[in-house]
Amino acid sequence: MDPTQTDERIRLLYRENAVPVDIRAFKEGLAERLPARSGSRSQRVMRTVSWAILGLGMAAALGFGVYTAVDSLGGDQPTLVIGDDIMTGAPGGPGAPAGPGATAGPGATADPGAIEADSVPDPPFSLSSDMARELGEALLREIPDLGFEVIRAWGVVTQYDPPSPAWITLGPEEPVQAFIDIYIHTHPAYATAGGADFPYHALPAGDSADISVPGATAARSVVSPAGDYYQVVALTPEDMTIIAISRVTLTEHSSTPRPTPPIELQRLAGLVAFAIERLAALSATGGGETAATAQAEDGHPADDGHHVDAVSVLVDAPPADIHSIDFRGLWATLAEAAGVESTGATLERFEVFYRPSGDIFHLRLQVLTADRYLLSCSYMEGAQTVHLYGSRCPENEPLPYSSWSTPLQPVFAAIDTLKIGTFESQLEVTNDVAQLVLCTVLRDANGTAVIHAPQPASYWENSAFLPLGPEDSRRTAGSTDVVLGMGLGRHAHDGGADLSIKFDDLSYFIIPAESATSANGS
Amino acid sequence: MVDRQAERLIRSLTSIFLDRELAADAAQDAFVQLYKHWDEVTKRGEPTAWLFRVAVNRCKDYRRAITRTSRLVQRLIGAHPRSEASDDWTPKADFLSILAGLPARQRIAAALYYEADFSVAEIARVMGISEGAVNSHLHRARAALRDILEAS
Repeated sequence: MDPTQTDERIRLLYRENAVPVDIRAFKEGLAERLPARSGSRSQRVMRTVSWAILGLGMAAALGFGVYTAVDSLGGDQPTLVIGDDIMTGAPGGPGAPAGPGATAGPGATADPGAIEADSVPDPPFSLSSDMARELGEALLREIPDLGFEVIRAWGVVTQYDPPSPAWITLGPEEPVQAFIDIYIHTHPAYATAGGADFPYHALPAGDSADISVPGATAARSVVSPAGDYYQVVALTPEDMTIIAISRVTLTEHSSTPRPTPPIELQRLAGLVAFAIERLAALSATGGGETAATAQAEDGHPADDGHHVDAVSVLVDAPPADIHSIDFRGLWATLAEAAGVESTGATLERFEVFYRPSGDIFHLRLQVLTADRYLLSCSYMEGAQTVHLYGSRCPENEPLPYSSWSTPLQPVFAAIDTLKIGTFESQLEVTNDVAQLVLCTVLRDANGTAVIHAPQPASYWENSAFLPLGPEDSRRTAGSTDVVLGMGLGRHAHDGGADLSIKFDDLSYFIIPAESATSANGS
Repeated sequence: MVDRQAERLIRSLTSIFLDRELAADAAQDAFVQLYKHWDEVTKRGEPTAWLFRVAVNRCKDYRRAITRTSRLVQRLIGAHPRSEASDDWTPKADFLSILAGLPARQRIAAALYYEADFSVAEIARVMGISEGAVNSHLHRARAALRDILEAS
């Protein structure tokens, strides 16, 4: 069966099995909702289900977990509060906020992460506002079978932090979806694998599982014309602290052809150079129709006329070649081929995940050049593909949050010091996964110190920017000292491709700048 | 827009999330949002892709919560999630089974390609991934679905 024939038969298969749709009823329901939105049917259903679940939880009274989903904060508010990338202070982990009322730490500055440079922080949509606090508690009280008293009996207090000045508004673009879910788990963390539940640490080796983390978490999502935003907050028995704010999507992406058959690694730099060159040309033209023309000249007719401001390149390569990639060599080659200035480049992100065998199954290296090009190289085990990404930060927009003060050279020197100059691991690990994250201590104008490190007890994100508490010794590290964070944990996926890792053990090392400089030979 | 897109949106979402109620709810949500932000969205020139993206994201969020709910129900009382087949919808069991076994991204790519007749470029915009990644997901989904065809 040739591919075209297969596609036609699969289309027929879909048609034969299509769900009948009552368009008239759908439109009637839609018409009812258009004038005034008072919460979706799903949300009401979910709340009802949640109440039922919570009731069962009460009836069971056996210390099982309790879950509830609560309704929307409303989608009509004119502002959207977001931050750039991940900002985290996970409860109990290094850098966790000192206690109730602690702020999100890394967000305590106005510039990084801002999308609209002239935007003014505005809290009406923020969980941090007094209004949100009232609303949050009111929502929890709405749950009749649980009751706020029960929550209080558990020691959970819905305390929202004051808004961070770093939170910014999205300008004229309104969020189009906004809602908050709160999950409360009182049972110990468990993992479900093969239809059975296991204590977290007893998960069969090599198995994958859904993982539930202890404590309570809450998440808020916003979908807007400018992108999707996902905010995670956490309830701990002591307080409620914002632990993560993530920006998921901000730019349109365009891909270059995926080369086949696999090519030599030496050509990677050339491909990225091509991508960035095209990117620069498109940026210079201002996008629109000109961008479409430029794409057409490259053999890729634009069908939407969108301005292209980022380019992805996927390159196939044998795993052995990928494993032998040299960090510093790759960076130098990329910079040279792309014609960017390597001096003054800063580290945006560096992560490596190892297996006990020493194999790398995921890595990510992102560098921001002084002339505002973001170069990224990532690899996922088994894909036999290196993903290279180039984007250009517009002149009038602030640099990514993580690039304030992380010089690149000490990081590379630290890599040399640790003898992990290539992707092949020299580390001994004792658990399923080890993650390394390198960065220098970041500081904002207010002196808040942050490091990029593995995140404990995380379901959604593996690493994040952790604020350092006032007693944290890492605060005293020099601006060019490199902090190596290392986490050991287990890896699971959520029934699909989603990667979830919980790090049980976290440690860190401070590599003095002198050592790094010495190792660098400079 | 509703006339043109509602049916294929609901069917696509059902193929992705295997839950028709969820699909209809998310589709309504997406249309409501599109209505509210029509000027903004159409200025960007791709209301259909935007509509599908919002609907898919909405379903994901619902599903994320529902998954946890279902798991808890099972833990507490041993109950199982309801079956999706009904009097007026009797999809082939192996079709549902194959779809349910596909990773989420493959299911989304396949539904948008085969059910909604989106191009690879359009799917890439809806999913926020590269066209190469879409092709990769489609390739794997196609291989799985081909098994049904060959078995029949």
